[in-house]
Amino acid sequence: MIEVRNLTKVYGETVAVDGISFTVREGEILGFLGPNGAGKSTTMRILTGHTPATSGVVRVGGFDVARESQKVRRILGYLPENAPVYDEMTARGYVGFFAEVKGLRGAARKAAVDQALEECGLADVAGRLLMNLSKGYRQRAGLAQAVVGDPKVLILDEPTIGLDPKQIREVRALIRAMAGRRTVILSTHILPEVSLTCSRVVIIARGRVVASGTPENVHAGSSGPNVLQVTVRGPRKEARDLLEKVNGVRRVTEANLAPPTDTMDVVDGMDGMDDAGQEAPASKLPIHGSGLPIHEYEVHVEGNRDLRAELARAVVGSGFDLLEMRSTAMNLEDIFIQTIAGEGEGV
Amino acid sequence: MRGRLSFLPVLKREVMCYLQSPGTYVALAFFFLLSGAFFTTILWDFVERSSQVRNGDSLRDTELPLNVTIRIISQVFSLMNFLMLLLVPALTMRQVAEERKSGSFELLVTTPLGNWDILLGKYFAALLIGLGVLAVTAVYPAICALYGDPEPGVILSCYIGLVLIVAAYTAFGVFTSSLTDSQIAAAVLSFAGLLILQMPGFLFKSGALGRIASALSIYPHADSFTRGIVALPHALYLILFAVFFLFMAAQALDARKWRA
Repeated sequence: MIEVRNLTKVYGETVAVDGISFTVREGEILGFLGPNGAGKSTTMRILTGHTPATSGVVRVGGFDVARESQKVRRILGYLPENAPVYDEMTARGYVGFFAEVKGLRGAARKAAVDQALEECGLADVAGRLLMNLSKGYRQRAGLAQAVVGDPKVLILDEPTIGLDPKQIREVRALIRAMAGRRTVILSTHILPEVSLTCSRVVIIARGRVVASGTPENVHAGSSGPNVLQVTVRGPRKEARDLLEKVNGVRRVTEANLAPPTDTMDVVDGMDGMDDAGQEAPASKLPIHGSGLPIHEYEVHVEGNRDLRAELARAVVGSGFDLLEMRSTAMNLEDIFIQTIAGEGEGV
Repeated sequence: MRGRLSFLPVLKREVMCYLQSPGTYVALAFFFLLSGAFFTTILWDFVERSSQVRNGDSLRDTELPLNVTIRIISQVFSLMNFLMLLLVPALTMRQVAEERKSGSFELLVTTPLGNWDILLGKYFAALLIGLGVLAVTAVYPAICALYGDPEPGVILSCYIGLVLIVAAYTAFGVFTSSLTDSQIAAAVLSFAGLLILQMPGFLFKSGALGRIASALSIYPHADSFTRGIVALPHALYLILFAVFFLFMAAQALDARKWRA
């Protein structure tokens, strides 16, 4: 749906975007992750046709952004950074204006506006002036404007910036609900955002792609061993032996039984946000349903093999309960810090 | 779906915006305060002179004849032409500059709207407000008609001139507003620019440059209408002035693409 090849943008002496390439398939939600000033907004502006690229090819929905800008704009919804809205308009008037601009008239326009207001949770405040609404609602009005007319592609620049935790959660849920229906690119410098909302992630720093993939396997390029955290209800020794016998397992260590801290939640806390209620952390360890003890193991896997299915079969096959399994090899934050460390801070 | 009137959504939005903005009313209040004061002064002067002349005083050689059309209508419209230098920049300064500042302009240019849709929508919105103001100024000739006998032809000519002036100044104002993201800068630029363009001949003593400059001056073209002269070259000048600066504005909208 979106294809970016060797995209470069140079402002005078400054190279804002330096030969980045990536593709987004239809229905995918791509997280565009990077520190502030990494070139995220510039890339997004080029994708929308707002800014011409210095070199490289960008195709959206099969149309070349530079040469078929008009066609691209018709299938595209865009939420610029900070969601600028027209303060003197009502939410309904604002969304209605963009519906009209996108060529909708009469009953079709009204239906599209109603749908966008509903989808973005603005129905209750539709008649109020945007200047009197909270930042969260204004952000949603920006989102509604992008969504109205049901564009195939959505480009959202920092859609959750400046919102309070509750609003952030709502906007993320809203975006996540679009998976499959729309192709979405959203930029962010907040890591949990990507794992919570995106099906794929591209990490950029200093105008270059430093990692890409699903949030789970974005570490593919890193050399560290893969570690899975497995929680089993069963006898300690047997369960451990069982795990060690699975082909491809290098080593199994017993983790201490303190409730594991969810790294994502730690990052959330640092960012002044709290998503604990949304992605329930695995802190339900002291449940002793069948009387058997619960043990947590760290399973070190060779290379980058994905042994989750094999491990699950092994545990369940021998009559034990598999309570939890997750990859802890490297979370996005590790990747993020590691990959951008060498590059230095963004400009 | 996209026809010749694809600028209509922008036009509607801009007009609504004008009507809801306090700034509009401040600008209009100033305009009517000043034009009303001018009109009253000119009217009283005329009434006073008339009674003096009736009582045996004779007109001085340099004085304009005691004729409602010449002495009131032409004078008032001349002054209104001048006041447009203040009113129009006050109305147009917001247009593109504010949207550039807030970032909504970035959004607007990524919609299916073309540059001309944005520009014409904004231009005609400001023009409509300006024409609305002109409609209200009809009270001045109306008051004259109650007590005197102004020539309808001259009044019509004055209005044709004023409409063309508003159209030309508005185009210039939209142009300067699209050059910057500061409303103040846009207002100062359009006021100063229009002021200089009134009589650029002053800048040159003589010679070919001076002659070209005088030919391009706004004032002689604009003022002829207040004397009841509707001449095609003068009208054409103002129309071309508007078209030229709209084209310049269209270029300025693409300024983001110039940054290589």
